This record gives sequence, structure tokens and C-alpha cells, in this order.
Amino acid sequence: MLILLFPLLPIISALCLIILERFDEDSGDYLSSATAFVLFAMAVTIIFTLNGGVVVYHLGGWGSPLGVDLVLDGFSALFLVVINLVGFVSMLYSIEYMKKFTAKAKFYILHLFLIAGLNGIVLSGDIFNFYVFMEIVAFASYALIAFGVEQLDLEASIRYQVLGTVGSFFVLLGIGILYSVTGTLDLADMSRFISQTGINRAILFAVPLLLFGFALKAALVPFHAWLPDAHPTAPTPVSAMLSGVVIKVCSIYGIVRIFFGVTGVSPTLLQILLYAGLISIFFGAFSALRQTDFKRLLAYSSISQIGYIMLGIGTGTPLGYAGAMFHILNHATFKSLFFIVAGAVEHSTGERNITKLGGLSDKMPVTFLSSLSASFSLGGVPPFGGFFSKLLIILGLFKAGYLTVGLLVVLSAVFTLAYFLKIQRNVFLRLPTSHFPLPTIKEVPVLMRVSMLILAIICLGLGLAFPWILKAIVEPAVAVLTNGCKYGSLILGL
Amino acid sequence: MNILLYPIFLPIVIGLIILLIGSRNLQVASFNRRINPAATKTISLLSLITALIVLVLGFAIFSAGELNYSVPWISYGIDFSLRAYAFSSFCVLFASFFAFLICLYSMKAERHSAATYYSFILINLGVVNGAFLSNNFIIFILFWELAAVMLYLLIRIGNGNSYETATKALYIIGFSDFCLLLGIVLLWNITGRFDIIHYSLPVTRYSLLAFILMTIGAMAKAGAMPFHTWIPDASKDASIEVMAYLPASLDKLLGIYLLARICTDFFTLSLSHSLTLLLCSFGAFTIIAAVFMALIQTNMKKLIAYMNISGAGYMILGIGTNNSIGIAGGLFYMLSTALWTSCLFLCAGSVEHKTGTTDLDKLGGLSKAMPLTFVATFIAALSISGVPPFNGFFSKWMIYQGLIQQLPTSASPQALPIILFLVIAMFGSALTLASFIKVIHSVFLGQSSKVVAQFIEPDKSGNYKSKPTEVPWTLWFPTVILACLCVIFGVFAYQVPLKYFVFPSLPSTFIGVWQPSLATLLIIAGIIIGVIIYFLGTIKTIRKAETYIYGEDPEIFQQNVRGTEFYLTISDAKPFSSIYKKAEAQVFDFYNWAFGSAKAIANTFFICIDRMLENIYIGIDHLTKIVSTFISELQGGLLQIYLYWSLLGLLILLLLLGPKRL
Repeated sequence: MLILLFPLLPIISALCLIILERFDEDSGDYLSSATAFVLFAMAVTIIFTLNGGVVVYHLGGWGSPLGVDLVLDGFSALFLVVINLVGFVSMLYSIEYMKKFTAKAKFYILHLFLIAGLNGIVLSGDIFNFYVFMEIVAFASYALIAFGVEQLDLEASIRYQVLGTVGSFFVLLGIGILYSVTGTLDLADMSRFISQTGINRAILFAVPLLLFGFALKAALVPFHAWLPDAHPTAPTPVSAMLSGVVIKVCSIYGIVRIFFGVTGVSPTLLQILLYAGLISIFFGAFSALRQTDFKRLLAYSSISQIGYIMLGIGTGTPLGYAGAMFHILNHATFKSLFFIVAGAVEHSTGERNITKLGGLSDKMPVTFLSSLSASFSLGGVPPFGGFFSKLLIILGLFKAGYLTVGLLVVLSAVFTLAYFLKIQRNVFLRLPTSHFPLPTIKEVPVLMRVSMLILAIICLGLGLAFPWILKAIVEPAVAVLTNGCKYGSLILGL
Repeated sequence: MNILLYPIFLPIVIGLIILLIGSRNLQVASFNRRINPAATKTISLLSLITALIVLVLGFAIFSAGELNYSVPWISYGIDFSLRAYAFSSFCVLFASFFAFLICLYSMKAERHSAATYYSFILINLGVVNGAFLSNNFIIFILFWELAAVMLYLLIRIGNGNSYETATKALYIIGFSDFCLLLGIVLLWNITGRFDIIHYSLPVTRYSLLAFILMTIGAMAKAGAMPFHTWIPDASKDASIEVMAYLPASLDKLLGIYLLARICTDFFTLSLSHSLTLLLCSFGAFTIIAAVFMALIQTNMKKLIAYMNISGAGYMILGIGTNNSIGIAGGLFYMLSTALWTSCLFLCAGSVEHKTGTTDLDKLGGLSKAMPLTFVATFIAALSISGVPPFNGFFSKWMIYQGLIQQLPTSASPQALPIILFLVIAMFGSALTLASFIKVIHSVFLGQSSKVVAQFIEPDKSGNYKSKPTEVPWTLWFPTVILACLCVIFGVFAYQVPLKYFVFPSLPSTFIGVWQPSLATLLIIAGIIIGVIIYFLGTIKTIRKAETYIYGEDPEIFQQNVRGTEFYLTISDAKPFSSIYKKAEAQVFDFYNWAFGSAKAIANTFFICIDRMLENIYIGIDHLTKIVSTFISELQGGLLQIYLYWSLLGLLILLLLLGPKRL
């Protein structure tokens, strides 16, 4: 029953907010933060109570192949923590940040729907609800990207809409083909059917269609073009959600759940993920090096970091999987943190162009420390979390025998180092250009500072508490990947 | 808690506490912040006491013999395991010892970021101890990379230019750390475990790569060429205590510790003659190139930095010989270099404290005012030049002996490189002596220069600008201790350092006594040549000074003979002048006299080796520009193009995942 609350609670709050908004414009501030906090607390509780088990909730008591199920296993639990952590911090941050926007309440409603959709994706046990929730997420994010209603926002949103719809269309086509072959929408049932009858040509056709849809949502190169426009233009809390969570849930979750759990992965598919990941890493890092817009730089860095996750999954070894799963957690924290740091800098200075900034380490110490924490995790500096996840991915690559790829990944760390040093130097450390009004700059309001500090501490904590995190969160998720197509019989057996 | 945890975590925790207490001073560019003298004093005392405790702990661990500690940490064979045995615990002992001396030395210095400075010094101590004690490669690389970050942060505490230098250091060290990481992963791929144990892998094609990658990591940490370029820059920009502490002592210990473990524990080199030869060539090259660069420096700090690099060359040469006496010599040399380079840097710091400069041209005649610093510098300089009975003599003798043992009995072409190495090593120590006579002369002897005079001589009205006395005891005491150790480790070489520190560290026992042999002759020859070079230089400059023409501007003759002019004849000589000019203009940092006049080859060297890392960086920058231009073509904002790309991707996916495998 508790599981149902994950998608339901944000929807209920959003509906309440629609009514409350008429009476009090600011009512969303605390209602939405409280909702997000409750969800986060529930996600943490689940980690402690689940212990690597699997829970299935049959909606309305209808049995598995017929009714609608919510399935919670280790992999979903990992994503629940990520979604609701970033969701909570982003809500907390919005209270101050969104003051300059009109129609704050509408923002909260959309944001709550975004969280509801994300929670729904990772919990739904049938492929059609998976698609429906994916569309909820997509529509919420289209609207949120366009929230600034300036020309750039609308343009970026339109681009994202067109490409996102193309992606969704192919996902739907793939789902349709799978349905026509297996005669069921339930993922577990479908998995069991396929493992009994084997793969046929129709399924083989559905796989690339689905992969295309997911790769578009993940912004893997060459499907990345929408991301550098869409992510930076959204309001900062939403950028943090989009870059930290949405691209992962809509793509990696789908890839793992459907390909690993249902259709089975072929070596070619793994190799495609591996090499697409590798290309994305370098493409993203190269592009990030040249950007001058703070948030755009971070968006390119997201392309690069998603590459690491794909690479880890593509190794096909438990070590690589563990690295990828841990990197999902790390990337969500440090990239969201980086985005809200960028937002804080923009909030205080009104400037996003890093060539015009400088010397902020004195004026904004909390922001500076948070950005250091994010940078160290991003650059893979021990003992921050990013170090361990990259280490595990590299170990996984070597274990799988990809020596050259491993070498290149190690090399890519130098590029990552280069672009994070560039941020640190240009924004915080060097003396600013003469016409920059440094003395008038103040640190951001307290709630924004708190939300940055929460994530900064988590960035460090993920590294320090790495062994426990590995046991509690990562290993159950890895088990789901290694179990592969046993998913069906496992779920139906419950 | 296990005793092994204390030397690692005690300084880290205390350092973090200091950092938190003094976090008001955390900012890098914070001016106009008032310094609270009481707080600064408390912080410095606290860190001094912490370093002392760690030193005592280090001694306890050292005397306790072999200790092991292990708790399961991460699965996948990664345990948090520590091991103290002779080698690692003597490194811990000395690391703590240097930290203690540096804390003592820094007590009187005024700095506006005392909290940051002391906390970084302490955290770095903990991290380095962690690297020494760790018995698992993952723990090791964790501490090792943290040490790189600490190096970056410590260099940052310097003058305004230190950002550039620190970034350069971080790139070079970061690159080499990634190489090390890769080497470790390769090693793991071969052996299947992460424990640091005695693997003795034969060097085959696959493990050769691991060996080379790990060696790059070790050599960059020790500051051998071509990974040295950050050290001379740092000596200019970083504060002098940091230079004495980090590159001179800890990084040398750390780098050579790893190199020795690689060569003795992880790999067996005996079968691959060419590999030891390669290692020796790197060592020999570092010795000669760095010492030539040192010869022409006019700044004491930079000169010591180059001598420090050349020291790394001797150690690599010693370890590269791959026989027990050579390796023992390399380790002894590591210990000795840490002692005398720290001593020299600290003496330079005292001189700077007194006069405000370390420029050799501006100094002179300080021996009267600073007798203790003078004596300490003198002893350290004699040690580094290999004059008996100081420690430099014995450590060099062992390295030479190791090389001589490598000589084949019959005359064969294989003997040629070894003879070459011997000659280079000998020349290296000759030139070292020559450059230090220059330092001693221009800083301490001779007439006092204008800059010095205003500090140590009364002005016309008979008043002193400052007292013509020695620097405070906290400044001279560490240098004197280090100098005394140089003497003790020399005179009682077999009774103290070799017996307790060096020999127990090596897997194979080695019994040898000092015997007059070819090695001794070589060292003596080196000293004589050094003195001859010194006299040649001096005679020539004196003659120049004697051509005094009455009536000319007397200003230029008022100064006595400047030590820095001793070797102008060398740098003016035809084949050398162009190279020296370039080197000084930082076109290339190193000097190869064999290829002297061949400009083209010199330029190739400059592009290929010395500026390699920076050129790679520039190259990447260009590549990035090209790539990003290409991207911006794609990223034109045209939706159709985005769609075309995506659909092209779909086609590729359909082709790759097609039913051909059915």
C-alpha cells in the first residue's frame, strides 16, 4: 500500500494545490516541499526495510497477468531514492528561487506531476503504465522548460517536444510490437513468455525501436542535440531534476528493465551501449571544455557522465554494473548540486557567462564549498563518491577485457579535471574582470544554502560511506541486472 | 583502535578541526582580514604537538616490527588493510619527523591563512602515512590521489602566481596518477587481487605495460624528468616551507618508496636487461640535465629545486641497477636527499626571512650574521656533493658500487652504457659541488652586498635596521638538526641508517663493508673535478674583475666578485649559450650538452619531451576547438538537422541489431 503513495501522493498534493492556489498564492511553498520530504523519507525507509527483497502490489487485488501491478525491487529502490532526494532538494530550493517568476503555484503543480511520473515509471510493473508515466514526465518537463516563456525557452521546449515525441512514438511502436507478439502487457508475464518461446524476428525489430526511444531520452550521441538547449533554459530547480534524474529514469531504467529483464540482452546490444557511452563521454567532455555558459557547460557534462553509466552497463560484468548503479546515485547528487550552484550564482549576480564572473569564493562561501564538493565528486577525487563509481567502471572494463576502452576512460578523467578546474577558476577563484560589481554581491538566502549543503554533504558522504551504500543500495540493484530474464518467474512467483 | 590507524587519522582529524576553527581564513584571495595572533599561535602549537605525537607514534610503530591490521571494507577483494614493516614504518617515521620540523620552522612565520596552512600540512601528513602503510592497492591509490590534491592546495598557498603553478602541478601529477591507477588495474587483471604483496611478476609483454605505467606514477611523484617541470616553478611561487616539506621530503619518500616496491616486490626485472638499462638511462639523464640547469640558476630556491630533481635521478639510477647494493644505495640516497634538500630549502627560507630575497646576485657575506645557518648550509652542501664523511658520500658510493657490479667481467658492448652512467653520475656530483660552492660563496662568504648590508651593518648614524644576529631559534634549530643528521648518517652510516632503516627494508639480505675501490676513486675524482671547475670559473672572473680602469663608473666595480658569474664562461661557451638562453627563457627546461649546437634536435627534444605535457594540453585545446566547431555546425538550432541525426542513429541501430543472428 505504501508503494502506491509514491505516484499517488504528489498527484494528490498537486490537485490540492490547484484549489489552494485560488486562496493563497504562496501555499505551494511548504505543501510541495513537505510532500517531497515525505516521499524522500519513505524512499529511505524502503531502503532499510526492503533488504534486497521484492515487493509486488496488486492494484485493487487483481492478480498478476490481468491487473495492474506496482513492482518494487532493488533497482527501483535505487531510483526511488535518487528521484525523491533530488526532488526534495529541488523543491526546497524553489521556495526562494522561484520568487522572481510569476505563477509559482503552477510551477509546483507541474513539478509535483514530474515527481509523480518519475516515481510511477520506476514502480510500474506493466509496460503500458510505464509508457503512460513516461508521457506524464515528458509533458511536465515540456511545460517546465518553457516556464520562462521567453523566446529561447519556448524554442528549446519546442525542439525537445518534437524530438521527445518522436522518441515516445518509437517506444510506443516497440511496445505495440511486443504486445502483438506476446499478447500481454505485464512485464513479468512478457518476460516469462519470451524466455519460454524464445526470440523471434518481431521482437528483434522491437528492440532497436525501443532502444532508439530510450537513447533519445538519454541524449546519447547522436541523439543528444536537444539536451544542451533544453536543460539550461529551464528554471534551475528543474534543470537539476532534468539533468540529475529525468534523463536516467526515462532511459537507463527503461533499458535495464525492458532489455535486461524482458527481452534479454545480446552481446551486440551491450557493445552498442558501451561504444555509444564512450563516444558520449568524449563528445560531452570536449564540448563542455568550450562552453562559456555555466549551465550549458553542465548540460554537456551530463551527456558525458551519462556516457559513463552506459559504459558501465555495457561492460556486462557485475563490477561494471555496480559502478554504473553507483554512478547513477553520484551523478544525480553532484550534477543537481552543480546546477543549483549555477542557479545560486545566477541568483546573486544575474550572470551565467563564466568568462564574466570571478572572485565569488569570498562573497559566497557556502556556494563555493558546495561547488567544490560537486567538482571533486565530478572529477573523481577521492574520497568523494565519483571516484569510487569511476573506479568500479574502469575495473569492470578491464575485467571484461576492454583494455583500450579502459585506457580511454582513464584518459577522459583528465578532460573532466580540465573542465571542472575551468569552472572553479573562472567563477570562484580568480579576480573578476574590472566592471564586475563584486562588492555588491551577497550570499543567497538561507533555504537555498541549506539545499546546497544537503547535497554537498551527501556528495562527500556517498564516498565516505561507500561500503555501506554499496551493500544497502547498489548491490540489490546489481542483482536485478545480473538476474536478467529470471525477472519474470521471480515476480510471478511472489 | 589499532595503533596503525593513529598516524593516519589523528593528523587528518586535527587538521580538519583546525580548518573548521579557522575557516574564516579559508579564502584564497582574502585580503584585509585581520590576523588574530593568539589564534595563530594556538593553531601552530596545536599542530606542532600533533606532529610530535605522530612522530612518537611513528617511532613506536617502527620499533614494534611488523604489524598488520585489516578490516573488510568493500567487497570485490578491497579490504581496508594496513601493514607496517621495516620499509613502510621507517618512511612513516621520517615523514612525521619532517612534518614536525616544518611545523617548528613555521611557528614564527606570519601568514594570513595560518589555519589553512597548518591544517593542510597535517592532513597531508596523515594522507602520506596512509599511503605508506596501506596494504591494499585501492587504499593506496586513494591516499596517493589525496596527496596529489593536498599538493595542489599547498602550492596554492603562495604568491599571486601560484595558481598557475599549482594547476600545472595538478595536471602533471594528475596525469601520472591516472597512469598509476591504470597500472594497478592492469596488475590486478594479471594477479586477480588487490593486496600489496610480493608478486615478483616476470616482465612479459602484458605486465611490461603495467610496469611502465606504475613507474610513470612513481617517477612523476619523485620529480624525475620529464615530469619535473612543476618543481622549479613551484620553488618560485610556493612558500618555502611547503617546498621543503612536499617536493623535497614527502614526495621524494613517496615516489621512491613506490618505485622500490615496484622493482623489488611487484616485478622481477632480472631477466630483462634492457628494462633496467632504460630505468638507469632515465636516472642518468635526470642527473646530468638537472644539474646543468642548476649550475646557471641565480636564485637559491630554484637552484635547490633543480638539485632536488637531480637527486631523484641518482635514486632511480640506484634502483635501476637492480642489485641489492644498488637498491640499498637508492634508498639510502632517498633518505639523504630528503634530509639535505629540506635542510637547504629551510636555510634558504632563513636567508629570505633575514634579507627578504634569495637572489644570489643580491646576497653576500651573511656568514658573520648567520653562523648557524651558514654551517648547516655548508654541511648540507658538502653532503649533497658527496664529500666524505657525510651521508652523500656513502649513499653515492653504494650506487656506484651497484653500477660497477652490473659491469660484465669481460669487455663487451654491454659494458658501454654502464660506464657512461658512471661517468655521468660522477660528473653530476662534480657539478653539484661546483654549484654549491657558488651558493656558499655568493650567499655567505665574500663582502656583504647592498641588500645584506642594510640588515647586518650599521648605517651612517650607527643604527641597525635589524639586529645583526642569527634568525630565531625555531628557524635555525630544524636546519641544524637536519645538518647533524647528515653528519651522523655519514659517519655512522653502517651503524645507524643502513642497519636500522635501509637493509631491513629489502627482501634480500646484503652484507657488505666499505672498501676502497673504483667507486671511491670515482667519488674522489668527482670532488676534484668539482673543485677544478670552481677554480677555473673563479680565476677567470677574478681576472675580469682585475681589469679595473680608473675613471670608469666605479659603481660596477664596487661589488665584489659575484658567485653567479663563476660559470658565465660555461653558459657563454659556443655550443651551450643558445641552449642556456632558451632554457632560461623557459623555451625548454633541460639541457643536453651532447646535442649542444644541433638546434633542430634540441627543438625536437623540447617539443617531444620537456613540454610534452603542455603541448598535449595545447594540442587538446586545438582539437577541442575543431571538435566544438564541428559540434556547433550540428548544433545549429535547426530542428530538421537534429531529427536527421536521430533518424540516422535509428538506422544504425536497426542495422546493428537486425535479425542476422537469428
